Amino acid sequence: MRIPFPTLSSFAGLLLLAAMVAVPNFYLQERRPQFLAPAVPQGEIAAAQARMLPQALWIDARSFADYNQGHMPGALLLNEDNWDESLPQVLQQWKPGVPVIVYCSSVSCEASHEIAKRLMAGSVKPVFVLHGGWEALQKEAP
Amino acid sequence: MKMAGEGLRLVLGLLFLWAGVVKMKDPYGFQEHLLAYQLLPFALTGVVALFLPALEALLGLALILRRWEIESLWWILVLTGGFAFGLGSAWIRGLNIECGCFGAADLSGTYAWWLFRDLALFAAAWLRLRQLGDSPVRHKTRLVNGA
Repeated sequence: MRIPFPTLSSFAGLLLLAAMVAVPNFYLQERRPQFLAPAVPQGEIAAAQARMLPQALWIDARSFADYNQGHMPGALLLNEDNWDESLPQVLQQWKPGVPVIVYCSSVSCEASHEIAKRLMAGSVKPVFVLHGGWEALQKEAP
Repeated sequence: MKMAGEGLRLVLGLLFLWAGVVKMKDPYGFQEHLLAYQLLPFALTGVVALFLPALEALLGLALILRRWEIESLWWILVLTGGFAFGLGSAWIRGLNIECGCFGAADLSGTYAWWLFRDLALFAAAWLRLRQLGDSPVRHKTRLVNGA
């Protein structure tokens, strides 16, 4: 049995040709891939990157009143006040390996960090805090 | 035997051309699927989402037109091997993902089916390479004796 093996130049040449097709295609498409994730602290995730996770479970750590005024579609309300009554629903919806994204109102809000810590202590992983919170989500809204 | 080989070439060519074109129309959507695998850094998913579909389409076209056939088949081996690694890794980690291998038309299925399909493509490319190696036609390649 003999296996034909290409030369390195021809093998790499196809990659170069593909690049010549890919670059113009980048400018032709409306929905373009992104290359730079904004710099965020460890354990946090930028809104643009978070929106691109198709299977994430969103947790709103704000007050009931803020949640009612508007929240990420599908987000579950889980804060320090309703932790005991809302946690079972969160655990029911979460599947191992699905990233959890917790947000509160803005970059200065600490509630999301507290909720994230409590979730991770209960073996829910991975958990990210949304950098910039609800404010960042509204700025990034499509 | 020769007809079977030509059939493999055409099927591989059409599949990869289709897969590439579908993903080229929505590179952002493909990047979303890549991110779900949680294997590559964010920036690299963007690069892969941009270049990989174009490469797939080019490989498909090359096979259909019988140009650079050996190079294309080796690229298919590399790509299907990489896809199998990614799928297997996601399966072991229990991730709930959509394959995304054929873009939006490939959202339902199971890991077992996706892996089977991927390994079938790998096997098809390998069989075609073997056939080309055994054929009397001379290629501008190096021939390596297989086991």
